[in-house]
Amino acid sequence: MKTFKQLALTLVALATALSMGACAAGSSSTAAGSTAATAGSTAAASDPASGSASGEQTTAAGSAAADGDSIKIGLVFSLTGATAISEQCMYNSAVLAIDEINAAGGIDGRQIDYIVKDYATDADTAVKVVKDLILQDQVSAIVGLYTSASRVAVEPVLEEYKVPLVYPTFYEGESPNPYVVYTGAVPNQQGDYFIPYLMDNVSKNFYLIGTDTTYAATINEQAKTKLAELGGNLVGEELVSSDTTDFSDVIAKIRNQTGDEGCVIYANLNGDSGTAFYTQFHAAGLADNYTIASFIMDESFSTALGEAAVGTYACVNYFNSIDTTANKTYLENYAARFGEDQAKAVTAVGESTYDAVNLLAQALQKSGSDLSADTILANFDNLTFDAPQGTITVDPETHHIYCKARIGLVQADGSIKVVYETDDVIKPEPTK
Amino acid sequence: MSPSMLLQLLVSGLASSFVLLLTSLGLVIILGYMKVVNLAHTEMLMSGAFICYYVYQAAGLPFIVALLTAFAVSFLFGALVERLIICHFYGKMSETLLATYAISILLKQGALLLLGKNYKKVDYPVKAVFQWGSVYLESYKLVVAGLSVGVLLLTLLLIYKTKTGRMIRAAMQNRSMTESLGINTKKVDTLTFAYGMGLAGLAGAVIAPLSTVTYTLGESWLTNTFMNVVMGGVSSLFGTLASSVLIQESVSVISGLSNSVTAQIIVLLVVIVVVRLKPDGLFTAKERR
Amino acid sequence: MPRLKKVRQLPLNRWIDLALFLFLLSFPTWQNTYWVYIMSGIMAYMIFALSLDLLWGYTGLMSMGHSVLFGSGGYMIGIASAWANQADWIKFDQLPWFLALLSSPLGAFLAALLLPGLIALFIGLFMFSGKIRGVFFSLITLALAGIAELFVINQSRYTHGDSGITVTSRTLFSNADSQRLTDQQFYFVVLAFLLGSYLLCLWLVNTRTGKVLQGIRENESRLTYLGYKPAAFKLFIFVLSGMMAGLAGMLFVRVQGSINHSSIGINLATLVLVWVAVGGRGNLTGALIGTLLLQFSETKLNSVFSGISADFAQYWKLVLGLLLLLIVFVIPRGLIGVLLDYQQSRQDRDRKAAIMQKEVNRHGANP
Repeated sequence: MKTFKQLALTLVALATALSMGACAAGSSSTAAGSTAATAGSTAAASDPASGSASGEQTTAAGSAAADGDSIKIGLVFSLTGATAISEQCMYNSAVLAIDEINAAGGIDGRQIDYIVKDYATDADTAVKVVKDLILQDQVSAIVGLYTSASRVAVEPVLEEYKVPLVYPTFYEGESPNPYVVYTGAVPNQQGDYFIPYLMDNVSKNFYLIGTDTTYAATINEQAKTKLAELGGNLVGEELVSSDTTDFSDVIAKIRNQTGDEGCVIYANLNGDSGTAFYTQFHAAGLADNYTIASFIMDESFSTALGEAAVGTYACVNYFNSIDTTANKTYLENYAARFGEDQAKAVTAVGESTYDAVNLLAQALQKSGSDLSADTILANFDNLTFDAPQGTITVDPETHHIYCKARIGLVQADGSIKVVYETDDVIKPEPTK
Repeated sequence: MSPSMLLQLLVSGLASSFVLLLTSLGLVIILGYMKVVNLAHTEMLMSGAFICYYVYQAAGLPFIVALLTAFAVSFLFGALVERLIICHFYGKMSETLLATYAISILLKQGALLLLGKNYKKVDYPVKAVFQWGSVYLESYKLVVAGLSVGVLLLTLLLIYKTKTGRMIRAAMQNRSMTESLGINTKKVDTLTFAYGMGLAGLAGAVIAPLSTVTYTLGESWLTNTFMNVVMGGVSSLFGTLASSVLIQESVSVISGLSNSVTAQIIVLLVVIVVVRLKPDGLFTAKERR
Repeated sequence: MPRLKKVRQLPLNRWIDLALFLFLLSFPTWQNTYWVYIMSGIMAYMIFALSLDLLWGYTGLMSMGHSVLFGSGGYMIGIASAWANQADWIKFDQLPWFLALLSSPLGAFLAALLLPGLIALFIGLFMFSGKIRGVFFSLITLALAGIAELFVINQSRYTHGDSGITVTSRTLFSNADSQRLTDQQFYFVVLAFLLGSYLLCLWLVNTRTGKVLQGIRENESRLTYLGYKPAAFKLFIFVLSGMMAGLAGMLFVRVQGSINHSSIGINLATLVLVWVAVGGRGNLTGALIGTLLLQFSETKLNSVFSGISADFAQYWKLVLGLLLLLIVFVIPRGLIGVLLDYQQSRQDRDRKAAIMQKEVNRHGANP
C-alpha cells in the first residue's frame, strides 16, 4: 500500500512537470499579452488565442492599469543571492521612478509596465531572465544588473536581439557595448580625484587592498599609476578572495609594513568581506594611525558599521547627504514608500537606477511610436536629467554619463558628508 | 619578512585557528560520530550570528546570554531536525545530504525574507588590544580562543567521562550490540546531532562581532570548515585542533610572503596531499578507538 | 502470452527514457525560441548529470566537486572564443604553450574533452591509489571545487577573473558570429550529443565492465578477492565521466553564450548532486528526469512568481527547499527509484501468485 502511495505521488509530480511544459507552450512568442502572469493558470495558457496584445495585464507589482497602449520594460535585480543587499535599493528606486512617471501621466499618455526578474547574483540566471524578458515578454528595454559577470554575460544577448540595457552600477569600465547605456560612474570619475585629495589631506603613503575581482584590480592599477604620477608612496598591495572574513594576516602586514607616519588604506572589498575588514581593522586599534578610503563605502555600509566606519573616506558620484531639491524629493518619496530607515541607506547605485529609469523614459518619449533599439539608443545621446546628484548628461560617444566626482567622509551618525566635489561634471572615460 | 612580522603573523594565525576550530567542531561531531555530511552547518553558523545580534545587540542582554541562547536555540532546532528528518535516513548518505541541503536552503532563504536585507553589526563585547613588544592581539581573540578550548575540553569530557558519552561511542562502534544492551540509541543520536548543531549556533554567535551579520554569512565559511574537517580526520577532535592550527598558521605565514588568495590555494592543495598520505586524517592513531 | 510478459518485465524506466527522448525530439515543434533555448541548456545539464550518475550511481563514488570537470571544459571553449574574437581584456599577443591547442576551434573542442579527462586522471591516480574512499573522496572533491573557483578567478589574465567570458554561442567548430546556428538547430545538436551520451552510458553499464563497477559500489573488497583491481576500474570511469562532464560544459557554454566562475564552483557541484538524487541514482533515467524536473520547475517557478508579484519572486527558493524536503521524505530513492521499486514489487507479487496458482492447480488435480 505504501508503495502505491509513493507511486501516486510520483505520478502527481510528473504530471505537474508536464503541465508546466504545457504552460510553456501557452506563452507563444507572438502574443505579447500571454506572459509569465498567465502561465500561472493552465487553463488560460492552453488557449493562446485569447492572449491578444492588451488582453492580459502583465505588470508585476500592479502599477496603474492602462487600457491604452503601454510601454513594457524589464527590471533585472538580485532579490535573492549574495548581492541582494546592495540591489534592494536599486530595485526600490526603479519602482519609485516608474511610479512617479506613471503618476505624472506616463510617457505621452502611455504608462510604463514593468516586469521584475530575480537573477540571484548568478550570471547564467541573468542570461535566462533577460532572454525571458526579450523573447516572451517582448520588453522594449531593460534596466538593471549589478555584477560585472552578469553584464558581460548578457551583452551578446542584447546584441543578438537588439534590445537596450540601462546598466546603473558604477563599475570598472569597458569598451562601451552599443546596446548598453551606463548610468554609473567609471574609475576616471572617481580615482583621478580621490588619490590627489587623499595625498593632500591624509597621507602620501598608500596600502592597496582589493578583492580578487576585475573591478578592484582596475581601481588598484589606476591608483598605482596615479601614485607614480604624483609622487605618492606605495607601501604594500594585497589581494584577498571574496569569501575572506578573517583579516588578521592582512592587518598584521599593514601594521608591520607601514611606519608611524600614517597611511591611507585603499581598500576595495566586496560585501561581507568589506564589512569584516572595517570591523577587524577598527577592533585592532589601527584606525588611530591609518585611514581607510574606499570606492565601496556607501550608506548601506556606513549606517550599519557604526564606529568602525567613522572617519573613513568614500568616493562616488552620489551621497544621500547631497543638498539639492531633486535629492530632497527623491529621499522624501523613498522614505514615504519604503520607510525612514530604508531612506537612510539609499546608496549611489540606488540613485543611479533612479536616473537610469528617468533617462530611459526621456529616450522613450523622444522615440515616440518607434521603439526599436536603434532609435531608443540614439535618443539617449546628450540627454540631460536633473538628477538627485545634480544635472547629468549622457555622453553620445560612450553612452556613459557626465557627472561630478565627490568625496565623502563618514560621520558619527553613519551619514556620509561631502568633503569635496568637482566644480564641473567630468567626461566619462570608460576605457582609460 | 622581518622576525617581528613573522611573530605577529604566527600569533594572529594561532588566534584565527581557534576561530576555525570553534566553527568546525559541530561539523566534526556530526560527521565523525553520525556519518552525516551536514550541509546546513554553515547556515547554522549564520543563524547563531543572527541570534547573537538580536539578543546581545538589539535587546542589550549580556554577551554570555547571547552565546547560551544561540547554543540552546540551535540545540533545540537540531534536536527537532534530527527527530523529524535525519533519524529516518541514517546510513544513507545521499538522503541525508539532500535533507541537510534542503534545510540549508530553508535557513538561508528564511533569514533573507524574515530578517531583512541589510548589514547588521554586533559590537565587540571586549575592546582592549594587548601589546607585547611588536606583537598585538585583540582581547576578543583571546576570549574566542578560551571559549574554543573550553568547548573542546567540555566536549571531550562529555564523550569520554560521562555515561551519555560512553553510549555515543558504543553506538558508533556497534549499534545493534548497543541496542541489545538496552541502550536507547535513538536518544543518543538525537543528543549528538543536537549538540553538533548547538555548537554551530554557538560558534556563529562568537564570530558575529568579527564581521557583519547577513544571510550570506554562511557561504564564506563553507570551504574552510569542510577542509578543516577533512584534514583533521573525522574521528578525532584533537585532529581538528591540530589541523585548525596548521591551516591557519600556514595561511597566515604564506600570505605574509605573497598574498592571501595564493595562500588559500596553496594550503588547500597541501591539505589534499596530506589527506592522500594519511587518508583518515591527521592524528587519528592517537585516538582511543 | 509470453511476449507481453517479456515487455512487462522490461524495466519501466527504459520506457520513460523512450518517452523522454520522443518528448525532447518534438519539443521545438510546439515551443517558442525561449523554451527551446532553456531546454538546450537543460539537456547539456542532463549530460552532466548522466556523467555523475555513472560515477556516483553506478560506482558509488560521490563526487561533490564534479563541476570542476564541467567548468574546465567550458573554460576551454571560453578562452578559445575570447582569443579568436580578440576580446578587449586579452592582453597577450600569443597563446601560451599550454593553451596552444585553443588556437583552432577544433582544437578547442578536443581540449574541452581532454582537459577534464586529464584532470580526472590526475585526481583519480592521486586518490584511488591512496585508498581515499567514502566520505573523504566526497569532501576532497568538494574542496577541489572550492579551489578551482578561487583559481579561475585568480587567473584573470586568461579567464577575465570574476567577470567571465563572452562566448560565440550555438556553434561547435567555429568562433565567428556569422556561423551561428539558430536556437532550434543547435537544440538538435545538443539533443544528438545527449542521445549519444545516453546510449554510451546504457551500453557501458550493461557490459561486464559496468557490472564490475556496480560490484565496486556494493562491495569493493570482495571484488579484490575475486582478482579485480578496483582502482583501475574507478580510474577508468572517473576519466570517462570527466570527459562527459567536459562535453556537457562545452555544450552548455555554447548554448549560454558565456562562462563564468560559478560554472566551476561548489554551487553547481551541489546542484547536480541534488538533480541526480531527486531523480534517483543508478538507473540513468533518474539523472535525466531529475535534471529536467528541477531545472524546468526552477525556471518556471521563477518566471511564474515574478509574474504574480515581484516580492513573490523571493519566495520561490523557499518553495524549492520545501519541495526537496518533501521529496526526500516521500520518495527517498528518487522519482525513478520509486517507480522501479514499484515494478519490482509487482513482479514479485505476480511471481508469487503464479507459484500459488501452480500449487492450487496441483492440489486441485490431486485432492
